[in-house]
Amino acid sequence: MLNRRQLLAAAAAGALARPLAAAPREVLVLGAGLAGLAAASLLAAQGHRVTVLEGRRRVGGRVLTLDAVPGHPEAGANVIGPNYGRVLDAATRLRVPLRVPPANLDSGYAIDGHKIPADAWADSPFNPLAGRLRAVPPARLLGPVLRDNPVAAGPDWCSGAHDALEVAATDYLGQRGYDAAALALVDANNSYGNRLADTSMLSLLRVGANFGRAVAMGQPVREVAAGNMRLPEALAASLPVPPVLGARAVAVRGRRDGVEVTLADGRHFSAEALVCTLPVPALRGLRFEPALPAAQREALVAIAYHKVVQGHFLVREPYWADSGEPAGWWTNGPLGRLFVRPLPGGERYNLTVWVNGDSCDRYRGPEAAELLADDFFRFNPAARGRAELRQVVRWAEEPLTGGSWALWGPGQVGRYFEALQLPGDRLFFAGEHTARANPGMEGAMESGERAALEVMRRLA
Amino acid sequence: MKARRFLGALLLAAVGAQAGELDGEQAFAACAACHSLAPGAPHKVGPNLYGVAGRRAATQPGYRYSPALEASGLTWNRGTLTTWIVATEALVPGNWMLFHSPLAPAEVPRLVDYILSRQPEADG
Repeated sequence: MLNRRQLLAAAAAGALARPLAAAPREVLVLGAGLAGLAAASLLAAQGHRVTVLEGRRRVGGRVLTLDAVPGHPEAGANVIGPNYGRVLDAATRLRVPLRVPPANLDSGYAIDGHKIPADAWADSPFNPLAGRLRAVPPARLLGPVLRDNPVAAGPDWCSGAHDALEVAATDYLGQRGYDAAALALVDANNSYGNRLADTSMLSLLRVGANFGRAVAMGQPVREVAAGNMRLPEALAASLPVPPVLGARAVAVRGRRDGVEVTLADGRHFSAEALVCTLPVPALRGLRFEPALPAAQREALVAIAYHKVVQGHFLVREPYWADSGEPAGWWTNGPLGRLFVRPLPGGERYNLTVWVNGDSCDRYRGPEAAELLADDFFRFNPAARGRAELRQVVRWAEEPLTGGSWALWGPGQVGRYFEALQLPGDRLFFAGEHTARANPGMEGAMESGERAALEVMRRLA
Repeated sequence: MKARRFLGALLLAAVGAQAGELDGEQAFAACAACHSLAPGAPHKVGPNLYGVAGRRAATQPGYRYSPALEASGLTWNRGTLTTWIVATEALVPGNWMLFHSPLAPAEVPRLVDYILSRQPEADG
């Protein structure tokens, strides 16, 4: 502790950067995903004593590399955009090598079970599209409305300036010439709603705007060479105190001078401030005393999470070579999309079956893996004996996640975006669902950074 | 008591930040992942900001700017930097800096002052 004379001298010399924040304070962070780890890193760098509590036995949250599957495919966050400044900076700083991912093999379209090579799409009798949309590939059906995207160069998507776009995507697209067949194809592999009718058009335009900006930069996307999970692991390892694993919070109590967290195993942790990065479905299982504001409670009930089921296959022989068919598929059937990429230096391939939204309901329960494998081999009979299902990940059924990311229904951005992240006196919220400028991994880190600034202010 | 108040006032004057607010260096945490402020440090996802005061926008060698910023005709000074930080998209629509300011209004001028202070002559 400096005495008065030293303080005066230091202040006069302008050498004392921030006397008020210099005293280390105790901070808790719930969740060791990228949001929590970003917040913890920044707060630790400010000299605060940070304890990260993680419910799982691993860090990373929705960054999940399947290390037990050859080729270590990603079951969670998979792409690092060229504008993901925080992710790229963390990787550089922590010496986590990145690479440009190997390209997926070419894919075709399967409509109602009929397989159509990509170059035959426009003229195929099984192409259900009409008029100006007929030649548009199903995976790019939003292209025509994204060309003059009102969210691309304008106020933030969540600023409240886009209320007119907070309508069901089916209505917005319907008014722009998308007929029932076109809407059904957009719905088939929609990543931003479990049903297209429940998807806010604003949400789709936001994603389109972000994607367009990343593409405009003309630089490749990247991934962590040894698996994206190495990045949260490196972030965790860089903290002065490693995250406490297997620490599932069940209650958060506000105290006059701080916050207390109770874990499922009965342990208690106290601090002067708390950053809570849990996704909304996990937050619903947390008891807050005093209760959160009514608007926030309403938001926590209302916001749905996206359902994703992934089946990760290992392909030992390129079974598609005999028939000349493409390896990858965009389908409007139960399997959704099939992505195939080669493992380095060999004949083997990783194949991911990626099912979105309500189509995931087919793969619930204990028979999910068997059913998914059956569906796959029925779709690709030549794959029998040459490919095997190694792992199934069902995000909606992960108890600590409850889905892949937050979904915004019509009207929900305006109604709930701010309410979801209402700070308390010593309680601050982060996580992908609170990110403004960026989606995905970068959004998670952006939100953690914002919450860290809130804590710094509170403890200043 | 008087002395303590005096001390407090002096400290606040020197630091510029009140309790409950971030000073310029702390606020730069919202920028630091993408921008270096050290002389000669490499560009990150955003360009190095050392010596940015008085510089025409989008003119740093070795960095690829958005066509929108290149065409903006801006020169970085207290006014343009402040607007850029709080209303990036409104100032230069279609630029590549994906940023939403998490700063309180009083913190923005302090951040701008901090960035502008990182100049060759200020170092001397």
